[in-house]
Amino acid sequence: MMPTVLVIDDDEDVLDLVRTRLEEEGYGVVVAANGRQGLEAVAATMPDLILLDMKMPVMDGPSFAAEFRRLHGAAAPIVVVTAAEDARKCAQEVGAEGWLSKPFEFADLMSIVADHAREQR
Amino acid sequence: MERHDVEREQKLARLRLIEAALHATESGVVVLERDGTVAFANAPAQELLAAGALITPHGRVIEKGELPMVRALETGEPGARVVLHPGPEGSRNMIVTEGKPVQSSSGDLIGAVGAFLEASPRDLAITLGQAPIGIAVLRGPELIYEYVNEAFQSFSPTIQLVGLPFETASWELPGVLARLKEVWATGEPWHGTDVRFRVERAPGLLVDGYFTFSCVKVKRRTPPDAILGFVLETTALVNGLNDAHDRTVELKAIIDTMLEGVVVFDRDRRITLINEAAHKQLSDINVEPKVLENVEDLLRTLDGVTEGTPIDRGSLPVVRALAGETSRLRLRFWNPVTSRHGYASVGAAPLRDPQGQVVGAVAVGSDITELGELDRLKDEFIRVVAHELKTPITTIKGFATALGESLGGRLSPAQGRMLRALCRNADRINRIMCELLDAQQIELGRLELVEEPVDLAELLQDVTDRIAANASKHDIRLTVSSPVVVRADGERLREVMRILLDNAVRYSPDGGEVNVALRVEGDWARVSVCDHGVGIPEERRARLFERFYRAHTNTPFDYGGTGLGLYVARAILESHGGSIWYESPAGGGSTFTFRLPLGTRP
Repeated sequence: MMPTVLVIDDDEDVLDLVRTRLEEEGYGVVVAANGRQGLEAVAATMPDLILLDMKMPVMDGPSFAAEFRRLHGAAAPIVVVTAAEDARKCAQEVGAEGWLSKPFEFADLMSIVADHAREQR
Repeated sequence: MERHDVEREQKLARLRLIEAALHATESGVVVLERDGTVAFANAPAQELLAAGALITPHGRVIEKGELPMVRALETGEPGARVVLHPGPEGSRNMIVTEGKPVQSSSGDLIGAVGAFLEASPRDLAITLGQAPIGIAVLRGPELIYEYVNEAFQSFSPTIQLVGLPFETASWELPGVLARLKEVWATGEPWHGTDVRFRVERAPGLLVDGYFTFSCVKVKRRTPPDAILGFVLETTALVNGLNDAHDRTVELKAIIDTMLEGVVVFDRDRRITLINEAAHKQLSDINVEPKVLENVEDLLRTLDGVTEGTPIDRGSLPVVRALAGETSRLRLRFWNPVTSRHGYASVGAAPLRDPQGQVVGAVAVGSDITELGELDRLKDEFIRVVAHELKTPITTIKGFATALGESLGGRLSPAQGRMLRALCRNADRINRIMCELLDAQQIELGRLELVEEPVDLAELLQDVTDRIAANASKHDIRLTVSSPVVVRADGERLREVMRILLDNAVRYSPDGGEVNVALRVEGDWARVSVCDHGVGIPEERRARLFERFYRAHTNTPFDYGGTGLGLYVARAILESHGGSIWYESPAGGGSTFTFRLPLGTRP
């Protein structure tokens, strides 16, 4: 059974793009439009990896990360996927395991997902 | 005894008598030989010639060459009389000196004789007449001009004063006659300093003049007595002072109408002037300018508005100006009245006297809060735009790539090119945004490095592969002489390489080889990117690394770009302790080389 990835991003096109590519590679994909929806999704099923956007309405990335750690600890690794100037710094600040800057190459997306999802198994 | 021996004896005896007579006289006598040596000088002459310097009664030093006997020796004519100040003991009267040439029976100049005589009343009159101070004698009790010297007569060039009564032959002098009569009656002297009189400078031309004077009543051996007046004209001095005062008032008015605040300090660091703009600026941040006395007061005031962080004294323009330096500084301050941050631009320059000594400083400050606010808005705007563009770029590029991959072999070559162009241009927009953001960080001095061990060979391989994928016409070759690991910010180094390779490809429009080489040289890792493109115009080389500077603007090789790439690349490398340079031979092609330190840096 392939790992499940939760993608949290407020941009529908990004969600569509990432979902399409990950499914092509055989991953199970769950999407959420903001942090609040993301928390609901993890409460239903804990994914193997979370791809997290930073700037979102309702509940943003940092708030989601804090809430997720509080409720679930290190139950799943978080990879920050952001258009912010310094993705590395964002990842450090929210205590995420990895980071990816927008715009990204598919190869980079795949390798970072594979790395973190594999670690989880 | 021969007859001529007798005559010689008689002549010598006569000479001895003459010599004795000359020695006995009180006047000085001197005889000069043709070559100027002193053949004879009696005691009074020796005393005078031995004096350190001969001066006139008006204080001018007389050179030896000016003495009438020396002149006579030079010209063969009697020398002009010179009046000398009495000797150092001051007991003697003034002395006048004369000189005449002496000729042989055949008419040859054989020497000169001179005399120093007690000056006659006429000599004294000549001297007084030429004195630079105005002198007048008014005969009483009618007060008629009996004597005026040249200087005094020059005060009223239109009338010959001597012989005229004071009140008829004089200037418009209200009250002066009464005062003079008082001097006559009481014998009390009258002094005045810079008193204004109307003076007839030319027929019909009455002009104000300023005079400083003394009038005293003098008793004479033979009546009637007289009033002696000494008068110095100080018009130029007074007018000069008045002009200076007027200029000061005028300058103050100009300085007060300036929009910039001006504060002037003297050499003791005291504040000597605060203009109206500075008054307003200080009042606007709740400072009462009147309580400020010196630089220290002003600095304390500034400390109060910089949120607890005392200003570095040494960097402040006013402090540097008092030390002789001109500088300008931008300050951020807290405005307690508006409860907002403000920005001030402050500059100061030293004030120097004609000898170049610092005698004070002038500081000029302007409130550039609005500019600072605009600058902040601009930065914010760039950041928001860049951020907002990144997400759409992600999806454009992502879907174009996805489409290409899912259609695979079913795409025509033209369709494949179109999709690659979509990806390439999405990358380009992204790169422009990154460069803009980086340039901004560099400008603000906020370029942060995240250092980690970086395998340079691996990094170069990755970046060249990625660029090569989009530059089909170009043959990008990488040569690695030895593996190198440096401590650096890998992401930033990738950006440097992307910039250099992007330029190499962009300015080699017809394709061709681009060679990337990595080697170790001493304590440095050295990377070069060599293209065979259009090269860099000689005259534009000096500014190549400047922000927004583009070497090919307005040339046939203008392939676009922001002009930020090399600026960003250099800043990144320099913040790593490295450097970048290039060569571009006349035949075309450019090689950009950068180096990074291998060891740990301080």
